[in-house]
Amino acid sequence: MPTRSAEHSAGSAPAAADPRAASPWLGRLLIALGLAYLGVVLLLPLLAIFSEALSKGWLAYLTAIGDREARVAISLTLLSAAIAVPANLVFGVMAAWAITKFEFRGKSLLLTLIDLPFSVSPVIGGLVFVLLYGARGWLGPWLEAHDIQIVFAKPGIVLATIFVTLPFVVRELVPLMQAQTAADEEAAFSLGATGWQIFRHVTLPNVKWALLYGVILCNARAMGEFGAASVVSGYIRGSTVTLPLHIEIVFNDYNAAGAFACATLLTLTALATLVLKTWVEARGRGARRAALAVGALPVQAAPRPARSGA
Amino acid sequence: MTRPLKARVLPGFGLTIGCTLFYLSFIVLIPFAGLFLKGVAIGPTEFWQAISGTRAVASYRITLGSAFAAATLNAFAGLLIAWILVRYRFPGRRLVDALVDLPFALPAAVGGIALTAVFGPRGWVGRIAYPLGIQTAYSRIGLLLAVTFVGLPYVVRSVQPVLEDLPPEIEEAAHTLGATRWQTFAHAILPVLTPAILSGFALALARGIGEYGAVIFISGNIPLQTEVTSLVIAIKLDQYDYAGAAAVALVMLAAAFVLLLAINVLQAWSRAYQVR
Amino acid sequence: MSIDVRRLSKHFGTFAALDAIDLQVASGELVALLGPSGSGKTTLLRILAGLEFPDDDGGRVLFDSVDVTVATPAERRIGLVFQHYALFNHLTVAGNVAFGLRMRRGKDRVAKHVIDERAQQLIDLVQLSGLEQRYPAQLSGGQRQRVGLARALAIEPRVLLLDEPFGALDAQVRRDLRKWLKELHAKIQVTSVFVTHDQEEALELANRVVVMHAGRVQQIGTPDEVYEQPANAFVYQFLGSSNVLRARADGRQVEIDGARYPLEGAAASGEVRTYVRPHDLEIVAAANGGATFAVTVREVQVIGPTVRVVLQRDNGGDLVEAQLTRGQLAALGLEAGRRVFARPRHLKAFAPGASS
Repeated sequence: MPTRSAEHSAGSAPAAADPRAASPWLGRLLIALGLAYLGVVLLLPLLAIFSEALSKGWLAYLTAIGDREARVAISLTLLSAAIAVPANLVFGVMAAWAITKFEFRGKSLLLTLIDLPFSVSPVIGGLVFVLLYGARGWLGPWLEAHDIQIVFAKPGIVLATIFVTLPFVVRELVPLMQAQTAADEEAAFSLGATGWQIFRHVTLPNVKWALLYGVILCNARAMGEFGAASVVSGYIRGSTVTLPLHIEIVFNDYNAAGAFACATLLTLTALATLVLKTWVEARGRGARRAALAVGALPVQAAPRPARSGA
Repeated sequence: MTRPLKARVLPGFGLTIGCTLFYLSFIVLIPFAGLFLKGVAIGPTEFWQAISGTRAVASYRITLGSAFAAATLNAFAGLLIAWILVRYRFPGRRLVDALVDLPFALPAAVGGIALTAVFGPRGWVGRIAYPLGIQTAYSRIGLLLAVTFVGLPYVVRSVQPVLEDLPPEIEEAAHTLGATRWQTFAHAILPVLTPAILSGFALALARGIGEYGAVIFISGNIPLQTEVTSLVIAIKLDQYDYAGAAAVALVMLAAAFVLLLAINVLQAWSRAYQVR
Repeated sequence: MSIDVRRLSKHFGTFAALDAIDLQVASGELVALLGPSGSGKTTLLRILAGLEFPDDDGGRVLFDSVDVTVATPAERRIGLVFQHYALFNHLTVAGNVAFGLRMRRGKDRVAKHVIDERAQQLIDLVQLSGLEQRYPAQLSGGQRQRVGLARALAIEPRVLLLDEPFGALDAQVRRDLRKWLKELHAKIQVTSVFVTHDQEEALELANRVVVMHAGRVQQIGTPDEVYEQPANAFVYQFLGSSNVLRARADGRQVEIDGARYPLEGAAASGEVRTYVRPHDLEIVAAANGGATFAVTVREVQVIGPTVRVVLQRDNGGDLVEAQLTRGQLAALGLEAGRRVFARPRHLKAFAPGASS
């Protein structure tokens, strides 16, 4: 990306040799303003998490993240992510293949449905499962008769997590695969490759960075899910409490330091996500920009990054 | 020239579309169908009662109002941040660029309690604000802060690529035609950015309307003042008022739908401006 | 408005984009800056425009004897036309053309009806009448460039600068616009400088051509002068296809395989490289004593209206290309392997040290 600063900040005159170089004060002011805003809104909260977590000392910190309930919450969070991410990965690949390699009616509707989890409040995401599988829901009686518990049990958490993270992989793949014409795949097909072979040897190498990017975002969101989980959870300690929910419980129990201690785990994951994201973005940028420059239509709205949390 | 219909040349259509539809039905279609059915099942009068309750109606106003205010704030801030990230070089720029996505990566609940820590009465900012009479937490301001926090990246990420791709010749042309720096910005650059800004605004708005986790910690959740619609739904569910919850949820869904349409229109408009 | 460039240099770091350029453009002239990529022509144009500034070592730019070296583009009253048009996509054609006038403030402010009138005049001048309300996205490349031109002219510039104005257009459109620009310039007589790497364009359009290479001016002259009397081998080779024939010279004559020819350009002695244009290389069937030398036909290529024949000199094996008409080809009945004789005209040599 070219350096633009000296040359033409909104028409300011250029280089050092020029006796009429415009004042750099405007630039400095803007940067100061922008950084100040980000500092207050982003940086302070970030720092506060760690500051509060350690406010009662290292021992309290380690106790908070090591106690039994925290550990159970962590394992539930990891479990839901471990199920949701691969499931949505496979779904994402299949949906992207169907959408970008074929023409069929209702494609627009399909894309809207896929985008639905993005467009609704996570609470609604949990609500629909309660309405369907809850004791008073449509399938409630049937489930009870068969002694299957979905809402207020682990399956509910997993379903809610799958719901909110559903679009991530698809959204990353579709624009890219749309911009990359099917020519390569058709060539492989004409040479006798099976569908799976085409995918594995032709498509996959082209989209691997977008795929990885989608997985990273999907995982971040899965681990941080709060709103939908909160509704379907029932807050049964030791059973249906994910890490974000555990943080809520601990926080509301006036144990701020403990809550922040657990929060640091998720924060570190978030920071790792950012690092990975940046790295993958840089690697995949060339292919992506080239493809998008051709004028591909992104899957409904929304910029690349994830929508994590509640 | 339109691409000819790919007459199912490549293999795998049946399998992929089948699996996709099945999965989608299981996770999205059927659950939402259940929601709609519930809405229908409770009948018009009860439906109306549920969505027009005082708390519910207040929550619409609060949710929409705070989301709108936050999105507006983020529009200006987002433009500024995108501007300094693209047009200037300063130490730590790459770090700042990555950090802009923090609200995306950070769980909302963590964001919520973090904001409370900073803006609460004993927080770093609260300590200064409260004595001045400004209640930065458990108040409308707290609500605004939370919604602003989660919506921060949208305008930035929407504007950045457009700004990056803005050809320097456009500014040079304006410059040679006699435009001052401000005129160049206002007449040659801003109009190009406007669709992206509005697009980001709409996305931030959509996100702000649905936000739950970040809000419930710092807004105080005061009914009729800072109680948002998603919380109203959650409370109804807690009280086993499934009907009421479903009804209000359908109202939210309708709003989300309208917003989604607007976003698509804006994005189409944004693309139409890009002459190749 | 005359332009006077004195000892202008421009370095980017250690790289010398321009090296002590001296140039004068008379009022109303249409001058071409011609050269390959990296020759410095665009840099020079941008310095004339005020978008870049020369090294602070005494180099000067004067418009009508007024030093504008550090003046802004607006202060210089220049109009700039860009290779990729740089139109404001969110404005209509009329909006684009009126832009410069609309930006005027204070005492320079122009009344709206005057702006609209002037914009319309210019739109008519560039023959885009009827398209005032169209947006750039709805125009062809040639139309867009005409908008760019109208927009630059709207502010009544004293100097018009064009940066490879037709570079982004198809060949046919390029040719049409070239003709059209020449007519336009004859009508409006604004001092104009345009940059191009296309020698055909420069020769066709310009009153004078400035041939540039590696940051230096190689030659300044009318199209005829630079073509017929090139100052060095670089100018010769850049302005048209050329062949190199090794010869032995003494004074004003050279000898090639027994044939003797007058030498144009610099006098020389000993082994020299001589240059001849493909269309100046005549092919004859029979030898003619001291006037022809032997060659063998290697390849015959018919390309549209002309014929290109690759010949190999019997003595030494140098390859040269001759350009014939179809008629000449038919008369000679040439084919690969045939042994014929060449008679070059206008052989040129250049002083050693000329860049090539």
